[in-house]
Formats: sequence, structure tokens, C-alpha cells
Amino acid sequence: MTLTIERGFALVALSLAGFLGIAILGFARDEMFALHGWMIFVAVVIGAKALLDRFEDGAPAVQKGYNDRPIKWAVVAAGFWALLGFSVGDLLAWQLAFPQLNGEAGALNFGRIRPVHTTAVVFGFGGNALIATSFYVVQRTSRARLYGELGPELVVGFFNLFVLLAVTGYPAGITQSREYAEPEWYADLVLLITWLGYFGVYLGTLARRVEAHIYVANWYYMAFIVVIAMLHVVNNLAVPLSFAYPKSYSLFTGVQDAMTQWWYGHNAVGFLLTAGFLGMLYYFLPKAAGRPIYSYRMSIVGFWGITFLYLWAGSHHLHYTALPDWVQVLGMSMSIILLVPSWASVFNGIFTLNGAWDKVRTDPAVRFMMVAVLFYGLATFEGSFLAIKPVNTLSHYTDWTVGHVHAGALGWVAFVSFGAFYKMVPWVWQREGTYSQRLEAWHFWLALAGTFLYVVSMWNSGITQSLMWQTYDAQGYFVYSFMDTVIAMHPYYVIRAIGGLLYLIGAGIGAWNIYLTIRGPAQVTRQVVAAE
Amino acid sequence: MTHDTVLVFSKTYGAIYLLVFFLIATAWVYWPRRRKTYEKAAEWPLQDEACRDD
Repeated sequence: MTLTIERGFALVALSLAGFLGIAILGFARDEMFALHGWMIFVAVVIGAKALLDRFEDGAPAVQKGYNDRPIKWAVVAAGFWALLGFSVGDLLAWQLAFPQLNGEAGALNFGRIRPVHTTAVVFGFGGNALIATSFYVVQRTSRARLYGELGPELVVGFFNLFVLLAVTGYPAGITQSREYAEPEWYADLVLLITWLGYFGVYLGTLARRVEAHIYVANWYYMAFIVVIAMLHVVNNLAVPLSFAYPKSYSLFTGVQDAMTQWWYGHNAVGFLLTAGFLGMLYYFLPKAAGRPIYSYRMSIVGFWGITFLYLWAGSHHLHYTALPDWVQVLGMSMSIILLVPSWASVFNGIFTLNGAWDKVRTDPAVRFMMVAVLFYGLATFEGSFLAIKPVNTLSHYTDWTVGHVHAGALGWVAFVSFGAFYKMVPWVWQREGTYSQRLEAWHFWLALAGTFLYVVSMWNSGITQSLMWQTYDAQGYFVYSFMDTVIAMHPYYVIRAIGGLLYLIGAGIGAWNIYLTIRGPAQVTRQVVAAE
Repeated sequence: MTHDTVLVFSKTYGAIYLLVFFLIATAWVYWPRRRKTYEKAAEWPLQDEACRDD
């Protein structure tokens, strides 16, 4: 029985999570809360079993080659959450177009399942995609095996436990009502423990690297890990009522509460949905194109620009509120300057394809990543534009914001992930390539058509909405009632739902293609290096 | 710390700090001596990626 540093940390982490699960099980009076206690407890038992097995094996043997096992789990989890998240998202779109689809069932109405959609796509799909690709990239660019024998798998397992706790809690009304930070305190604790483990695995792997310099993709991934930890801790500071019920109350009140929330909310976009995926782009695009990054040095300057500017931009979500005006102007200014490093990455990505543009035509994975860069450029320009206070008077609280978010989420985040997965899955599973490039192409065109329908309909909807809200007659009375504006949105909502359906069908084809790739015959000419 | 103190700090030292940090980072990255390091690093994903343990 040998206690290593990693085993010691795993023991402490599992003990803390186990204590949490048992405490909830012992005191919970709410059914879903008790079920969550069981989920945590079962996950801890599985983790403890794996840890004890290793203790019995004695001192860890020196393992060689890359550890791709946790990557495979994260890929499968990302696929599952993507399909669930896209399905629920499209259901929500149809509910908005046809409100009677909300039905009588409280658990399935818009308010309850909207966070199921956002959590499943942002954390379930996006989070797992980042964990999978970051574990792949840090190993290959460090030429070193992932740190830890059990840690990486615990990270993947407990991260998905967090997502499961979140999405099963919302339909039962378990939420702290903070956008993108809805999970209650106990799920937040599970994520905190997991995230510290993720940080440790990443740092430990970097410490084993062959070269002194750390490849730039790892900088972006590290920024994502570190800043998300900081945001998660501060924004979720809350006082739980008891172990009997899941409810807690935020430590912040009033405008400070709003500012903390949007400091978190915007930087979740900045560091989870931007920095992490830029890390993905800066490895998989050059690799797929067979060309080095156009300007490596620009990618580093862009990193510092994005890292420093994003943290100040959150207050643009609170224009014309009780927030002090100077904070609003500060957020607006930083958001405008942020366009410079953002577009530096856009040009860097596009110019990386110089000399390899034929691959955009012949390889759908490269096409996915190229279009992702264009959507990143579009979404970041739009974001800076919407942050300008006078523009915000037109756009805020309208569907324009929804269109903006989805240009980034569907067009940038998901497209770059699809492109990276179509490359990484055959590499990790030792396959010659994906099962079918034709299916990849179908996925691409359906996803692109769906994204265009979604974004364009929401632009039209948002601007129409805003102009109707701001139309006055000669006496200064509103010309349109709120219900008039809701009725006017109907055709746009139907188009949006159709766009979402196309996107979902494309993702279904993509998942099937990935499944067939995994099921397909192994590569025979390549040395199997993954030691599992 | 009062609201006014935060305001003054943000408008003065905060802005200077950001600007100075950005200039130092840019000078560091574009310093001619580091050119080769970065050019070599840019090629990493394209090279053989065998694990050093193999």
C-alpha cells in the first residue's frame, strides 16, 4: 500500500465529496435533494473503489505513452450532452413559437428547462470538449504523459456528475437563479473539488514537458482553468439554509450582486467559450491544415490582450441600471478595445490557412474550423458593437442578444469543437480517419444552414421588437402593446425553431459518424502508443 | 476603501498598469532574440508527436 501525492489528493477529495453526499442523505427532506445525495454518494463509492484497487496494486508502475482513456470518456460525454442540449434547446424554441407546448406540466415549462439547455450545451458539451481536447493538446505539445493515474478520470467523472446534478435539479426547481451559474451550493462544491483536480493534472503534465517553452494553446487552456475557478468561487459565495433543503442565499445584494453575476457571466463567455476554444483552435487548425500558426507571436500578444481586457467588460450587461455610470462606461470602453486582440486571433486563424485553402474544400473538418473563425470574428465585432451604450438602448432585452449569443455558440464554439473532434477522434481511437467525410459534409451544411436561419431570424426579431417598444404617438403614448410585439415575433420564432432543428439533425449525423468511426477497424500501420 | 478611491484608482493607476503591462508583454514577445524560440514552437504541432517515454 503506497501513498503517492496524487493518491493523497484523491483520498482527500473523495472524502470531502463523500462527506457532502452522506450529509445530504442524512438530513435531506426534499426528494430531489436526497436523490442528489445518492448520486454524489454513488460517484464517490465508484471513485473510492478505483482508488482502493490502486492501493492494493502497491506502488504505481511507470506507465508509458499518452493516456487517452479520459479523453475518450470526455468525448463520449460531450456527444451525449450536445444531443441532449440541442434537443432541449429546439424544444424551447418551439415552445416560444407555440406557447401551448409548455403544457400544464411545471417541470417541462420554459422556465424550468431553459437552464437544462444552457447547462447541457455550455458545461456538458463545451466543458467536456475542452477537457478532452486540453488533455490531448497538453500531452502532445509537452511530449509527456498526462499527470496522474486516476486523477484525470476522476476529473472527467466528477465534472459530469456536476452537470448531471445541475440538469436533473432544474426541472424540480432547484436553482439559485444566477444565469449560467444556476446549480445550488452542493453542486458548486462538487465542481470546485473537480476543478482543483483538473488544475493539478494540467500543471503536473506541463511540469513534465520536454521543451522549456509552453506551446501557446496551453496558455489559453490554463487561462480558462484558472479564471473559471476564480469566477466560480466568487460568484457562488452563498449561505446554504441547511442540509435539509437545497436552497441557499447569495452573499451579495443589490447592484453588487448584479455586478458580481455579470462579471462572472461575461467572463464565462470570455474564458470558457473564448479562451479555451482559442486554445483548441491554435492546436487543431495548424495540425489539420499542415501549416504553422501564421504569427505565433501575435497569438501570445492576443492572449494577454484577451486575458486582461475581458475581465473588465462584464458591466456592459448592466447598461442603464443602478450600476454607477463610470463602471458602465468602463465596461463599454474595454469591450470596444477587446475587438483588437479578438480580431488578431481571427486574422491569425485565417492566414494560417494560406497555402492550405484547398483543404477547406476537401476536408470538412478544416471547413468547420475556418467557418468557426469567421463566426468568431462576427460575434466579437457584434459584441463590441452591442456594448456601446446608445446601441444597447436598441438591443438590450431583445432577441438581438439571443442571436448574438448563438452566432458565437453555434457558429464559433460548436463549429470549432466539431472540427477538432473529427480530427481527434480518429487519432485517439487509432483509426485511419472518420467513418465518412460525406457525412461530415452533411453535418457541416446542415449546421451552417441552421445557424444562419437562427441568427438572421433573431436579428430581425430583435430589431423589430425594439423599434415596436420604442414607437410613440404624438401624445407620447405607446403605439404597440407588449402583446402586439409578441405576436409580431411569431414568424421569426418559427424560423428560429426550424434552424435549431436543422442544427440538431446535423449534430445527430455527426454523432452517428463519430460512433461509426469508433466502432470501425483500428489503424494497422500506426504504432499503438496509448498505454491503457 | 470608498467608492471614490476605487474610481480614482481605476481611472489613473488601473489604466496605466494595463498599458504598461501590455507594452512590456509586447516588447517581450517581439524581442528579436526570442524569434527562433517562437518559430520553433509554432512548428510543434506539425512534428512527430511521440511521447518521450516511448
